[in-house]
Amino acid sequence: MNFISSKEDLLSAVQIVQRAVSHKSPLPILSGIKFCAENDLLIVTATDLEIGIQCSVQAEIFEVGSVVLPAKYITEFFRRLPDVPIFIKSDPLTGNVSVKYGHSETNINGFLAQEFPELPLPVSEVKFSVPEDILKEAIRQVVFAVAVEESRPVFTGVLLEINGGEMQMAATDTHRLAWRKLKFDDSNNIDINIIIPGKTLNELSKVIGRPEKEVDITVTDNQVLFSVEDLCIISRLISGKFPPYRQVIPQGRVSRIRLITRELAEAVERAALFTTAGSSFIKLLLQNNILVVSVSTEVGRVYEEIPVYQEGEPMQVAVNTRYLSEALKVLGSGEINIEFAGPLNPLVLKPVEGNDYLSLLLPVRIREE
Amino acid sequence: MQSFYKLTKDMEVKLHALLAEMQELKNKARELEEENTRLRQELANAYREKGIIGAGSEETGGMDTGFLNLLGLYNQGFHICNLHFGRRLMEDCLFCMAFFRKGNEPAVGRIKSEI
Repeated sequence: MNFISSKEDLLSAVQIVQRAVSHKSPLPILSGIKFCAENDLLIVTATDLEIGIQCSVQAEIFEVGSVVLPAKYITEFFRRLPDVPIFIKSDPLTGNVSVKYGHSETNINGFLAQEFPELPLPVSEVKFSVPEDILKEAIRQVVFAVAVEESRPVFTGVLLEINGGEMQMAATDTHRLAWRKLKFDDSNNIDINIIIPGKTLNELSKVIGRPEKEVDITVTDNQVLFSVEDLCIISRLISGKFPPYRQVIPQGRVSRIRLITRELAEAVERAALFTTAGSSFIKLLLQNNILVVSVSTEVGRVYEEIPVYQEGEPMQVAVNTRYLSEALKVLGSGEINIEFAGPLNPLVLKPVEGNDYLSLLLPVRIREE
Repeated sequence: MQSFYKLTKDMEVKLHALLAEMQELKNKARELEEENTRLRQELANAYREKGIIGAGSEETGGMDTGFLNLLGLYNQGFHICNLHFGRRLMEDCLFCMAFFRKGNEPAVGRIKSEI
């Protein structure tokens, strides 16, 4: 392998793919990034066998070939290179690489690319496209609710359901839930129900967002491929059945309030500073068109009144501060409706405009001081 | 060189023994998991049967005893939803609450709340 490229192209490619590098795998080769030079393109790949990211950049290729370089060093090394043409040449027998820049040269001990797992792009009839900015926003609005612990893998993923011309996404860690509906051009009569790892969607959302571009999505029985221009993200799907989440959404309500999202978000963040590890909740008291946000711990006491438009009965609940704060951050609306179905039933948070998003938050049962 | 060869050979034997032990542990863990699932299933069936047998009375607000048993189990800190039945509750669960709402709305009011 022998090619010339620029620092900017090399650095941007390795920064994108390094998110898939395995830091825990017993296979040393997976701690590396594969560089493959072919047909005027440099294809850079990393995988941890759960997720694979592949990025192509323009390069002047003198000799095709491939090599794997340790991710730990290569990213920082490329970052520190001068802005001059970078000549990279590898020894096909040893995997050692020489990097020349200006009058300088660095040699890096790499791995032979044959040991690196193949990352074949899945082929399937199930293909569709979604505008990048819309998908990014939808991911942001649901992925925060996935579970972190892996005892039940389905909860670490986001359900993506397409049928009847609608795309719906849902995630829950059993304490909170987020759901989003998207308009979908159903020209291909697609009907799928898959669970995509939250990690994959998090990584995808970091590299998409341009309003004029689309993400092409290909789904097979056990894999999903996201393609945007020069970038591909391949991920395993989570097997299993997503729990029937619609049954947890309360159908009735005791009271409802409308208020400015920012006012509540700021009050919650201030109150959060006074919560402690053993008492990470705040109280919300609703009466007479006022929502009182309060917290009282050994650190101090916060009491804030927020004017709201109230329908229905007075209400008092306690909620996990982090959960409420995260739900408010992704709401994407200046005004919010919060519906209460009782002191122990989930709160339903909805933007005032539209009916294509909601998140649920279960109150905390606490001891009265 | 001979002793180095012997050392590596010894190490190989030890590694084999370790692998065999690991396999045994994995088998044991699988057996325990299967037993745990079976016991959880039996417990769920027992509660379900009780629910069918138990009759609602005025004292229990029309809720049958099986349902009240489940309520008691939840209040003691265990999941009663079919996703995690019998497991320790770390935090309140949306699916358990949905079960109570679906089964009997007044039941939600009987969940211990100390707000």
